[in-house]
Amino acid sequence: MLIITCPFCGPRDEVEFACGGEAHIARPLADNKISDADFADYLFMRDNPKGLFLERWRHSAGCRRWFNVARDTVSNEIVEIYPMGSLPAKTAAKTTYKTSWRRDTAAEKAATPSRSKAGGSK
Amino acid sequence: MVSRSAASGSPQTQRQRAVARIDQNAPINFTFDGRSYRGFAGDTLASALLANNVHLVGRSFKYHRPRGIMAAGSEEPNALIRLGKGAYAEPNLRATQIEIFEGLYAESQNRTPSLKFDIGAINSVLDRFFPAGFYYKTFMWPASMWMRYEHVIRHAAGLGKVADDHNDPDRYEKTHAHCDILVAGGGATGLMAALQAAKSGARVILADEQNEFGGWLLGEADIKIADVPALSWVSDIVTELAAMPNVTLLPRTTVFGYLDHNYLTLNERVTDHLPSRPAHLPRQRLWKIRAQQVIIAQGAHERPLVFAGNDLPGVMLAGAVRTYINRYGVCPGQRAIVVCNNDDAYRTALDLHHAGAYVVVTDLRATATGPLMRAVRNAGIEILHGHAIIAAYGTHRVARVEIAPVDDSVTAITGDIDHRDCDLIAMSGGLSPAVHLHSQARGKLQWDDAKLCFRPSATHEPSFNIGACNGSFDLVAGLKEAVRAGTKAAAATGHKATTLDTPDVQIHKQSWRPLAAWKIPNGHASGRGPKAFVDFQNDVTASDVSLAAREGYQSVEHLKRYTTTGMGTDQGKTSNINALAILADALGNEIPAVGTTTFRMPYTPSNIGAIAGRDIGDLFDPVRLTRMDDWHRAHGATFEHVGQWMRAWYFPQDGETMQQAVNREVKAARTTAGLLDASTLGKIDIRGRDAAEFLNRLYTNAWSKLGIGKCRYGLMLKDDGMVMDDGVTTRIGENHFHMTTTTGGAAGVLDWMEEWLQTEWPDLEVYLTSVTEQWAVATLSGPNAGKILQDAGIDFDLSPAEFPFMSMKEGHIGGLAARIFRISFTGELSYEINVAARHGLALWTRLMAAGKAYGITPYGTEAMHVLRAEKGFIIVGQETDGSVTPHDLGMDWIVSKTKPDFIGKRALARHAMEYDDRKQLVGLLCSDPATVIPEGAHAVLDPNQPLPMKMLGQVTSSYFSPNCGRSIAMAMLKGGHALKGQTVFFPMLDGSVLKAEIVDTAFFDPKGARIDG
Amino acid sequence: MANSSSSRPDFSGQTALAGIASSTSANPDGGTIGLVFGEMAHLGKLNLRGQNGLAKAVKAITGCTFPPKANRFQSAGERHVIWLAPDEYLLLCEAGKEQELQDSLNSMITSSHFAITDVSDSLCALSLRGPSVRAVLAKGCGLDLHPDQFTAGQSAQSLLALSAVTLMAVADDAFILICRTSFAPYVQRWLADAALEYGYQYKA
Repeated sequence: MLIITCPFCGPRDEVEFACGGEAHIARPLADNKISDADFADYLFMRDNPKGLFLERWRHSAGCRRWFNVARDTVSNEIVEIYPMGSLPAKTAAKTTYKTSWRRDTAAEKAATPSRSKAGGSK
Repeated sequence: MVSRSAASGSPQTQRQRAVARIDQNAPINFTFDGRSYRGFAGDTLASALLANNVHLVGRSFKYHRPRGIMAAGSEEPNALIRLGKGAYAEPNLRATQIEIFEGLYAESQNRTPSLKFDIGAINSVLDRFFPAGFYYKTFMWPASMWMRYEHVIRHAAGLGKVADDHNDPDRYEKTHAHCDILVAGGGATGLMAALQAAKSGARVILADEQNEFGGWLLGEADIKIADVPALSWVSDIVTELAAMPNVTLLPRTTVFGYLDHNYLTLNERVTDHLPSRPAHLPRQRLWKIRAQQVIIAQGAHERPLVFAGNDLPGVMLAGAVRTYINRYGVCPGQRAIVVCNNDDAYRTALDLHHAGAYVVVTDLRATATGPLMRAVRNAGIEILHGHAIIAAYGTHRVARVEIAPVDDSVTAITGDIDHRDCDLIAMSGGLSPAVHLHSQARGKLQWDDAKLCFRPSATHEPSFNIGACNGSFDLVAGLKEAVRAGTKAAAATGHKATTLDTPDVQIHKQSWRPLAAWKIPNGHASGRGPKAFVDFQNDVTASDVSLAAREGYQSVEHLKRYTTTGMGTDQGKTSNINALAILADALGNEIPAVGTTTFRMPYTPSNIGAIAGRDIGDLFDPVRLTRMDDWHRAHGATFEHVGQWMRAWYFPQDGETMQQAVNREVKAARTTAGLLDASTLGKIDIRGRDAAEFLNRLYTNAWSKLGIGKCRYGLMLKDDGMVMDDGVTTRIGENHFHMTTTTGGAAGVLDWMEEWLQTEWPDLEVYLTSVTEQWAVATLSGPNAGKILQDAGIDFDLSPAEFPFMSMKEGHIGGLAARIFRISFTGELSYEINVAARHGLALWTRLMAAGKAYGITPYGTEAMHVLRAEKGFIIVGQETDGSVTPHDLGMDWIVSKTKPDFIGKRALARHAMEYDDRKQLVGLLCSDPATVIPEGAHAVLDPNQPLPMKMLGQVTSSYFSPNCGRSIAMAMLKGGHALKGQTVFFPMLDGSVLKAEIVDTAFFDPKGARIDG
Repeated sequence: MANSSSSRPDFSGQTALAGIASSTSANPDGGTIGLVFGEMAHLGKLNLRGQNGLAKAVKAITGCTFPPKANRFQSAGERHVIWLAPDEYLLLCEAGKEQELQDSLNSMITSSHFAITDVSDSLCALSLRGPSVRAVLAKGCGLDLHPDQFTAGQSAQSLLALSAVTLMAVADDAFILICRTSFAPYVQRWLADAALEYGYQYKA
């Protein structure tokens, strides 16, 4: 069972948290004109990589706050924990963010102008 | 010195001498297979049976061969017994770990009808027909027969039976613990490491699976540490540790799981060793420990040698023989053959000799020199170098062996076969470090070609391996590692202590390099001749392994599953390396290239009761009750579970059936007034400047213009456009709303809203607080609802002009502050009255009293369902299943066309939403008005079409409606909206076919004329 | 039944654990009872959300300073302010005072971005005391409750068996436990069961 360091409450057992899946999926608005297929990238497609994964967690039994976690799905090593709305700072996690297929999707391109920051989304 | 007991049971003929750990003044009576025996305090079931000269204790898994006690610890593969009677009976326990107590009752397993005459042993005669993978090869075709084969196979092959009464009467508990350093294993090195770590002030937990600390030293006689007998050294350290407040000692506790981030699970056997179990103590306790650092000192397991007949009772591991002699004072045989590929077994030869047995040493190695061999030779013990036991024989116990000279690599017999009589074989094939915990934690292994074993290399979690489990079999080397690990682990947790001196150890010097001899030849071709076992518990022979390799099962994981080697309750502790080596040999490969199977928890079987702990019975799941619950119970309500809530389902009176009670309740709500406990509805307090904007984005309809004091129904979608929840939200103030959700959706909706606020719209200034339990809610519904509320003492004007439908007012009822919502889930004049929860019961009783003159009728959730169905109102989760859009429900009116965005808006515009075969909500009237179509029934257009029929969809709600005087139903049917007026059919399981007309969903008062009473 | 507002209802109402009678189980080993616990009936509870001006108003009106950091609570007499989240606190106050405090806070805070919500009936507070209190809690809670690690003045939201709880360490051998009222009967039963080996006294 993982120890996850809640940015607000500190290290706690995994049972106190809920995993919210892939992080940094920018949400296109209804008036962003993209095709159904492009919209599906936002709505349905989720990564499941072997290795470093940027994901969202919520301290559900604690402060109920969301945050981002860069976790290696093979070793379960938690490389970085960083606030909702920001991007990872560590090199490996940064690379994971930058090299994600999602960065090139029409869904993200449509959504990004509506965001103040690239990381400011689900 | 032989102890003879005069009382019941046979004499302990094999009890040789007084030893410190056996109290001969404390005899203990126990029963095995219906016979009484006597042992002493300090015995295990295994040692007590051996003391009584009982070797045959079970039958094997597949061939039902007689099996005896092979080991002295948790690695025992054979001596599995069923302990206790009735509901207390527990199968597959290792006799080697059961501490005996007065009255202990045990039975052997896997034999019919008795241990000595077992009908299943015919399998052994038919062994040619039971090769590896036999079941897979033979019984899989035709597939339809497998169910029949399986029953017979499962009966014939297998382990013990669980208790007949499935309610385990014992108490089990769980607890959490934290420490700086967890030491797994309390042998010499574990104790040393624990002491070193504890001296630093770090919080230390030391756990060991045995009843006392000392590990393998408990079974040795001739070792001195720090100039005192080893066990004195042990007890001094234990005493010192026990006195330290930062140390927790856990004997009888197995560390059985090592999970991520140094989370370990332990099973403590708290009262298993006691003749009666105190009610306040758990039988076993599951420890869930988070350690900063872990020191693994699990020791090693001795390997058997693979020779023909090596599974006979009386064939034991050499180290176990020493333990029985030195720890329990039991010599397991009088004529012993020690067969080995290493120095260590010579110590067994010495101990057997000193215990009075006649001993011959058969050493596979052509030469072996050193102080141990000298000592054995000086004792006058015969040593046969370059010899092997090529076969052992006996019926229920080994009686005779064939010994032959072998070549250097132990692959061929090089001379004449000598026959010897014996009643004990002490075998040793070298040591396998117990790398289980290290490997569970994803530590890496490396093959040590000198010591012939896998030992830990890189660790994955913050941990250390020390001593024998690290491949450091030499005690001095192990103690040095212990001091080093204790120091480093403490330092890693911010603690420091002076490094302890490694004590002097007096022990015969020996080599730890065994001879590689994995399969001892018996002069026959592979698969011929008597069986040589690799895995005793699963009846896997050397030839099975070779056969599997020839048949293409070349991966060790495939080998395991095909032959079952390494499975079972012992998980191959004694067998895995032999199996790997034989597989490698068959493949012409190196052992490290073959690799090991994955080590998984548990290390030893752990009782499922300990894992459940106290989460059973009325602590299985919290039951949430409303504040009116006492009243419902006092008035005969029946209840249904809604999530964790218990809700009043209906209130039967005077022997009413459910249907009668529900009919009465439903009628009353439309003719006078009904009262429903609606306290469980989710309630969320929403505050902030952007509250209305937030609702705009959350719901499909518009909220900005909702007036203060006004209520509005809302539908929430997921971002895929599917209905997620519904409810009424009310504007309390400019920036203040009160939202209600479904009972089941309450927690999920709050989480959902928080998620959007925190992750997508952090710019919105909105705060959410759950107030579900702050308010108790009574829903008063029916034409007389207003009058009753008046009589109950409402302090404001209820006229529709002053208090219209879909509005909220704050006031008092008989002095109780209340929020009253004029909303309706029945279509009648209806008030949802909210008061502070503490006054819930007072409100309820007040309304019941005020309504008495009107015939007010409390109604439950079933009547609520019927009432809303009469109106065609949906229930999220009943009509919907996560794949239903507002349009599917015929609720386009609630979807804003003008809002730029809301959750689900873009998805509703997907092309797939326009398919005309989407399931849509319709009403149904059964052709027989008295028949209620079963919910879940599937509709077809043509009941006579060939199978499989083309399904249209399913009935989602179906009731008898007393107000309509007939049955009504709702269904989700493909293209349903366009099918209005048509007839659909419902083929039933009994062959009958129901018929129904597709209609609108509003069955009662479709114009909504009754809303103002 | 004609009614007049002169027949005053019982304003104290029913507490979460009103239906559960006192019970005792002796320490099986003799000696002190391991856990003495009971409901802190009608304790006022306000959920506080907000940042700007909230701390100042709370200090002025309740006398409590905000906890200086996460996982702490700050007390002033019978009142406690517990840190729950970066912008969320729980105020515990004397029974019956919550409405008055809520009104005062609402009128004093000028920012629009705050919320004071009465959760007195939503949450149940239990007082736990005794030499075994930490051992009992450890059976259901994964937090490190060692007295050196979870010291007086510390608090945490976590899980106790199957219930969400907020734990406040009042002293080495004393805690306040807060849970949802509908979970209170479960928590009460669970505590009594877990304390069996140490002996317990439940005071209704």
